[in-house]
Amino acid sequence: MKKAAPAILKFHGVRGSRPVHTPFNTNYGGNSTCIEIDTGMDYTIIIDGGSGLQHVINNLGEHPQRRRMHILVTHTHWDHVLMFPFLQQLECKNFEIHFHAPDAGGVSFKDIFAKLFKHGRLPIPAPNVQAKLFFHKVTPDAAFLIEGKVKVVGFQVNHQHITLGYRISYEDSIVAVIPDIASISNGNLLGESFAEQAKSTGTEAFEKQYNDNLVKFLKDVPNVVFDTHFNAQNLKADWGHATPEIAMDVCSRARVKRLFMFHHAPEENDQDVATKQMLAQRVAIANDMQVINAREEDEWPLTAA
Amino acid sequence: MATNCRIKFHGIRAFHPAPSRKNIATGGNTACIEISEESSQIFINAGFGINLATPNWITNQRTKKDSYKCAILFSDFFWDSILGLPFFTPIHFKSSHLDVLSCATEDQAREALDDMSSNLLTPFNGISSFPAKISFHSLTTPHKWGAWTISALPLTHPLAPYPLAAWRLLHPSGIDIGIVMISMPDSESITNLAHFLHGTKTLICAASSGPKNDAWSRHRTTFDDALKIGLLTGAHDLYFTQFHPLMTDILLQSELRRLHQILGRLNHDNATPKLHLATEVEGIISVNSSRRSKAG
Repeated sequence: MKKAAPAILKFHGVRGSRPVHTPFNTNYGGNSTCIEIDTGMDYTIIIDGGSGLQHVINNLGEHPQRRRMHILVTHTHWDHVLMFPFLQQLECKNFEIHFHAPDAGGVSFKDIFAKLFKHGRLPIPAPNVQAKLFFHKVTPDAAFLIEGKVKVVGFQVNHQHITLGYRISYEDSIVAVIPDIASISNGNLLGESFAEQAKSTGTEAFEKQYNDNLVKFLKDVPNVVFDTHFNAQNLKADWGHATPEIAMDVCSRARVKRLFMFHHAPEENDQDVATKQMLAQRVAIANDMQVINAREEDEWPLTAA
Repeated sequence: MATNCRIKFHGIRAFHPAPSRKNIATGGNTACIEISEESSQIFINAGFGINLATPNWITNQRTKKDSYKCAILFSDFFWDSILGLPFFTPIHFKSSHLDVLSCATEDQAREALDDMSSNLLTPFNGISSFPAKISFHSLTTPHKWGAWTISALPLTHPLAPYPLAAWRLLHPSGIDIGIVMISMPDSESITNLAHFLHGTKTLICAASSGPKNDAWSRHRTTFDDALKIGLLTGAHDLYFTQFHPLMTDILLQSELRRLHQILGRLNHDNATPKLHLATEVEGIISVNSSRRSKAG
């Protein structure tokens, strides 16, 4: 049987915290988080709905045969959800949108989604929703299939509420997306229920178990997209983000072949982001790992690197 | 009294941010205008553009330990006018005092800023979780803020259960700035705005029409509406802002050319108002009571 072509990883938004436009960041782009996994099939797979989702919205006409969209939501902070009210596909007849998302603070994603459309906050007329919407709750460590073909596994990372990293496999194409994630060291327990779990096992044991599980989750995944919002000099651990050093440490232990650094800080200009990659590559080369800056509108075939 | 006033457009987009190479000359951040003179700093709306004001704040405040005060005038409480506030550095300092002015009631304004900083959508927990002191003012009569007299015209809008606001800022030196960030495009609204802003010298007006007549644009003033308001008020300078995210640099320049042609056909000998696209990159516009100039 003929093998399918590799899926394509498409970066539509690579900025963290908030979208930002300056003349000095247009190379890497200023839109907040949105990634697409293009399997070439008649459905679209999107990770997060930051402002980068506008590229998907504006390209709606390019793939008229695609009538189903699966959106994996890592968590519900603004930079990951702010474009959902502007999703014009909501108004498309004979269209299905499946949201796969964790709850936040005991509130379902469906309820949080509704808040984005609140009268008096939405700057546009409420969309005339004609698409069929499906809300699938994703729990930490969940594993499920999209369209019976794309395997998705979740992993709760160290960030506020339940924030999920996703490992996505389609035939030989495998990628993991680790969104906002902080080091768990020194009792920096940000994830929902992490403090309770640490209480029962002991903080040190919990931290070790979490770190081991994260490496296990990424083990031999050829392509990993990882939060590198901070650098070693400006790291604020309790803000819930990582650095290139943290990303490389985890990924080298997991024998990752290709690390995409993303969730660039809004304050970083193109030069800062380029320097970040240059410094990281020097270290990564020793681990036989390629380090690449995620850049808006770049596309990468998900080969085994 | 000679006073220099500076206007800086930190965010010129309506609806949602539009960072893009196609928008380099104009900008891609959502609404925020800074109006400052020696002793005061006033912001109109706190879209994502407000973060671009932060570096100035850090430079000014790090060198002096005194407290910081500013006013934020909200024309509306739609997401594109409020989402930048959690990233505005002064809000994270106890020594800061933010005066929030709007036509909404205090409860309505608080509710909006609580929605914006909800624990479900941010790492914060409502507007009261920020260290800065925040005071709410619901304007029904002209309000003195520093040397400025700030007046608001309440506007009804089908997308909001609270009154929106158009602004007029008067300085004793004679500086007179009118600001319309959002309004319905019907003739009654335009007439009311023209009446409220009559005689203003510098007019900043929303021109939110898109490349197509989409549903979004139908609830906003267009370039033609803004020009109409500019002509009716007799403004000297008219700055268009609140651009549709799909209006790229090229499309905006083309709109400006079209409006210049309309103005030419109307045969305005004194060629006023002078038409400008508000841009995030152009620098600061200086306004004083006797002259106006652009500084790059």
